[in-house]
Amino acid sequence: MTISILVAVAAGIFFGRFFFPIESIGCLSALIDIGLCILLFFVGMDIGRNKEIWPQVKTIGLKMLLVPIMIAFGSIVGSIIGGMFLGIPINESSAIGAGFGWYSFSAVELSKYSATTGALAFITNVCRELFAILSIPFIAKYVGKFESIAPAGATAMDTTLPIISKANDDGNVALVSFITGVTLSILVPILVPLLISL
Amino acid sequence: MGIHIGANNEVIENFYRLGYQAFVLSVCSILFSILGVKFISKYLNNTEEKKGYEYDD
Repeated sequence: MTISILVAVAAGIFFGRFFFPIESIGCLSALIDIGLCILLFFVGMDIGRNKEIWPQVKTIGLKMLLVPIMIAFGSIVGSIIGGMFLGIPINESSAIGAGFGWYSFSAVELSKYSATTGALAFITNVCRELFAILSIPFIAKYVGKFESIAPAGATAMDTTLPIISKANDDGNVALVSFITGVTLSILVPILVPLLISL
Repeated sequence: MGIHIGANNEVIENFYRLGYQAFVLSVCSILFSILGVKFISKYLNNTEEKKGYEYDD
């Protein structure tokens, strides 16, 4: 999936660089909006289809929702600090951090604001997913089981869930990971437009 | 989004700089999110242990 998205973006860059008529660039925003609505519709459908989530939250305890809350807070604070070091405005760095690894949504949403910010959000969130895949086993072993969910961000419910599950021999961690991914996926479409507009 | 990026010369010319910025931003956001969870993990582990004892009883 990651490779097909990377190929699609690379093909788009090539097409935009050499073939796309520059005067038609205005109609791209409308197409992006339609694409985002379709994407969010299917993500919502996926979450709604899983009826077991809420009873499971009740079983583990609402305290486990602290994990996605702290991941969201840490990601945004971290990207603001990194952005200050790089001289990136706070609204841009915080919005990029609020992508939580969901590069297909955050990058497209931020490309409406600026093509450079969209490209930066895309590369940052792809990097986050790659670093998550590489670091989760080490974090699970040397730092802690709940901490190993942190690098995954919104991907904790799908792409990186098998890695988290394998790295921690504890069924509860996989469940907390899934709930974390769902919660962060709900927060991304709210936080990214909100933070960039500040 | 790809077309948006490709049609923008500023993005294409600054691709290496964007890569470096992306590296810093992603590492910072991962590190701080781990710190955030570290801050509450003791509390979560204690809660889990207590629940474990309750089930044992």
